[in-house]
This record gives sequence, structure tokens and C-alpha cells, in this order.
Amino acid sequence: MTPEPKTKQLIRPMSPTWWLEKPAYTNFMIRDFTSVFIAAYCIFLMVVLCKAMHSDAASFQAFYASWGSGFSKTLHLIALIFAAYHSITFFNLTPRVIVVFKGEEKVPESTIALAHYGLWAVVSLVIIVIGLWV
Amino acid sequence: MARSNEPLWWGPFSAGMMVGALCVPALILLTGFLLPSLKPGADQANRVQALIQSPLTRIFIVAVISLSLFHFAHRFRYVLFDLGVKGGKSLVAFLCYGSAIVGTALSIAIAMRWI
Amino acid sequence: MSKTITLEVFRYQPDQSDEPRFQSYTVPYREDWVVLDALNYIKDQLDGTLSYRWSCRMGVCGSCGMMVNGTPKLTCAAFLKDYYPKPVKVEPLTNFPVLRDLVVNIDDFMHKMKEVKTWLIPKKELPMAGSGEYLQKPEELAQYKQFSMCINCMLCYAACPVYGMEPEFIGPAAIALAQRYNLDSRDGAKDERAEVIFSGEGIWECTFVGECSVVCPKKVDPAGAIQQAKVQATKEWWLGWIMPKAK
Ligand code: SF4
Ligand code: FES
Repeated sequence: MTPEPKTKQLIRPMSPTWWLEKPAYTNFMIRDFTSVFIAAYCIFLMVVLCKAMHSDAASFQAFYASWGSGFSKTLHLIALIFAAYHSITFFNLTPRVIVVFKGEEKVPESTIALAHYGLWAVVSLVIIVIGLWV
Repeated sequence: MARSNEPLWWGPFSAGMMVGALCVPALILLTGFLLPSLKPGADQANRVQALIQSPLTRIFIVAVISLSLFHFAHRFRYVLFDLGVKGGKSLVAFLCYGSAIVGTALSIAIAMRWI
Repeated sequence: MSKTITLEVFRYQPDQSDEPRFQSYTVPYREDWVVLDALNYIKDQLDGTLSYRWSCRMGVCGSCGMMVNGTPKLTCAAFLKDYYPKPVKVEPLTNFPVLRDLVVNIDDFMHKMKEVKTWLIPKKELPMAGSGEYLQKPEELAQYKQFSMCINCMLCYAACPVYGMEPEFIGPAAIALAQRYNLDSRDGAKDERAEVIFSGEGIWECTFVGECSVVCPKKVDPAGAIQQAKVQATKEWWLGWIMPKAK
């Protein structure tokens, strides 16, 4: 409910390509599009789940062997780049959202970001260890 | 003006953001590179299949899939607005969140062997 | 010969033409001059018809915000030496309607501040009929101090593409200011403000582009304020379902 202007005024509409006009805006678009690649990987996870639940050993073995193909590796690499970009940008932003006070002092932003990076390392390690050896 | 019901979507969205950031890179590394290079072969395939079939892994995978889809749905919905897609706001929302809900239902059904 | 620098200044004179244009001025270059000094030189020496806003010349009043080479800046804090010898392009803040030259219409922002009630609404009336003090501990002050630094310069609005696309969006500074009072231990109007800032035109429009906080001259971090409010609103909403009486 913007008030009606009383005098003549010039409206400068935003260009539809505003996100190309500044690197920061472009980075924002890339950051938001990482979710598309993560979702695409999740479709693959659904296929993995489906094969593991429904296939017999022989056909799962064939499916498992296909993960090593160049095609699979290329797709995984693309997904990995975007997923890592999501993680890094997300953890860097956490201190802006999670604010902790110790009395009058704010816990430093770097501490909160580092805590998240630490958690990331631990979770990743657990997933990899279980995936490889359990 | 009144408080919006947006938290209904923002809750799973932010959870998906967190889970995706913490777990997805490691999962991609695993299925894309580590398993095929370090653990090839039929025995390993059987081991991985058994691992995925265990209930805890199934819960984990379904959670990652579902939350990531909600993360995608919410972000994509707003990215379209930022790109200037003005019309059909509710249609966009319906399609985005609808796909996340269908994806979630589907992965639960797969994990439970309902389909 | 003394050094000079060129300013490309946006002109819009609705009494003469509906079309904006750029006008070049060459002004003396001084190490210690800011863009506002150069504009004042133009106004005093070269062209008295140029219109722009300013007052304090020291980053306090918040009235001299303009686009300097495409970035929202306080012109009293943007030094020519950071641009010299290249020309400097000066435009009115983006996302706002232009009234004349570098002067934008700020009614919308004023209106939004009113809507979110950016003033203290005390929890309880003062004892002794309006006299006495509201006491506050330093750690209570710390909760909102950062958001109270805002000088209403609107640079954040000029940096916000969401506001550019959706002028209904309440926007960075107004939400940060709402949080400034919400987090104040003496204030009691959190729920009233929530009706506005937790509405569809409030925090949910924001996609955390984050440029508002980058351009803010006072490190208010309005983007952070908005995300913190989202977390808070989401907690309250879900808790409201789980235990409806908690609110
Ligand atoms: S939040 Fe910062 S940029 Fe925005 S009006 Fe306040 S001081 Fe200016
Ligand atoms: S003139 Fe007051 S802030 Fe620049």
C-alpha cells in the first residue's frame, strides 16, 4: 500500500537480467541453483534405494558396477561441485542467523562458522566410514 | 495483514538446507568416487545392498531425499519470483511443493517395499 | 595544471523533459574530497539547477545516499580518490521513484516504518504517572544495539533486488528496525509487529541475497535480522501447533 505520489516521478523498472549485473547477485543465483543439482542427486539416491530394495544380488551388482563409469563420474563431479558450493556458502552464513550472546558479548562469527565446519567434517567422516567399511 | 503460514514450508526448507550441507557432499563422494574406486566387485555390491536395506540407512536416505526436495522446492519457488516470473504464484507453489511431497511419498513407499 | 575529475550525473527535470539524461561535469580533484564535495562544487560553481539531498556531511543523517558507479553509497563517505582518475557516475538510489535529479521519493519507506511501528511501545506504564525510568541491563542493551545503529539511509533498499521486483516487500531496514524494538527488554509490542513482519509481505519475501548488509554503512546487517526473524517465526508457528497454549 505505497502512498500515491503527489507529483510526477520517474520509475526505473528493474531489468530482468539484474542478476547478471553484479558478481554478488550472480553468486546468489548460483547459490540458489545448487538446490537443483542436490535434488537431481536425490533422484539418483531414490533409484539406488529402489534397486537395493527390489533387485536380486546379480542385478544390483551390475548396477553397482555402473557407478564407476565415466558417465556416472562426470555427473557425480558436477553434483559434487554444486553441493560443496552449497555447503560452504551455507556454513559461511550460519553466524548471521544463529546469534549467541555471552553476557554483553556476541560469540564471534568465526567461532560459529568454524563449529559448523567442524560438524561438517565429523558427519562426512562418519558417512564415509560407514559407507566403506560397514 | 496477518502472520503467514510460510513456516509450514520454511521449517522443512531450512532443515533440508542443513542436512544437504552436512551430508550430501559426503554421499556424492561415496557413490561417485570412493566406492567405485576403492571397493569395486560383486562382494562389495552385496555388502552395500545389505547396508542400504538396513532400517537405519533407509530412514537416513529417505530423510535426505525428502528434506532436500523441500529445500529445492522452496528455493526454486522464490528464485522464479526473483527472476521476474510474476503470474501464477500459487501454481508455482503448488508445483514446487507438490513435487517435494510426491517425491517424499515415493521414497517412503520404496523404502517400505510398498511398491 | 591542477588535477580534475569527471562526474557523470543523472539528471531528471520533469518540468522540462520526461526523459532522464546524463550530464558531465569536470571538477577539481582533491585527495580529501568525497563525492558530495564534488556535487557541492557543481551546485555552487557550475550548475545551480542540480538537486540532491544532504545534511550532516559525516555519515549520521542518512540523507546523501546515491548510486556511485552503480553501488549504493553515502556520498559523504565515498572518497574521490577511490575512483580517480576514472570518471564517477552518480545516480539516484535504485528501486525508488525519482522526483528530480538525484532526489528520490522516500514516502514508501516512511510508510513502512510506520507500519512496523519503529518506536518503543512500553510493556508497562511508568510508575508514578509518567515519571521515573525504564531500567535496562547492559546485556539487554546488547541484544538490539546493532540494529539501533540504522540511520535510515535506504542504501539497503537500493541494493535489494527483491524490493526492486516486489515493492510491497517491507524490506531490510524496516524489518531490522522492527527487530530493534522487538529485542528491547522494555518493549511490549512484539506481537503487534509480528502481524506485519511475519506476514507474506514481510520476512518471507527475502531470499537472503545479502547485499543489503554489504552496502550498509552502519553494519546493521538487516539480512541477518531477517533470517533471525524467520527462525523465530518458524519456531513460534510449529510450537503453536504442538502446544497451542504455549503462545
Ligand atoms: S540498515 Fe543500514 S543501509 Fe539500511 S537504512 Fe539502516 S543504515 Fe542504511
Ligand atoms: S550527508 Fe548525512 S549521511 Fe551523508
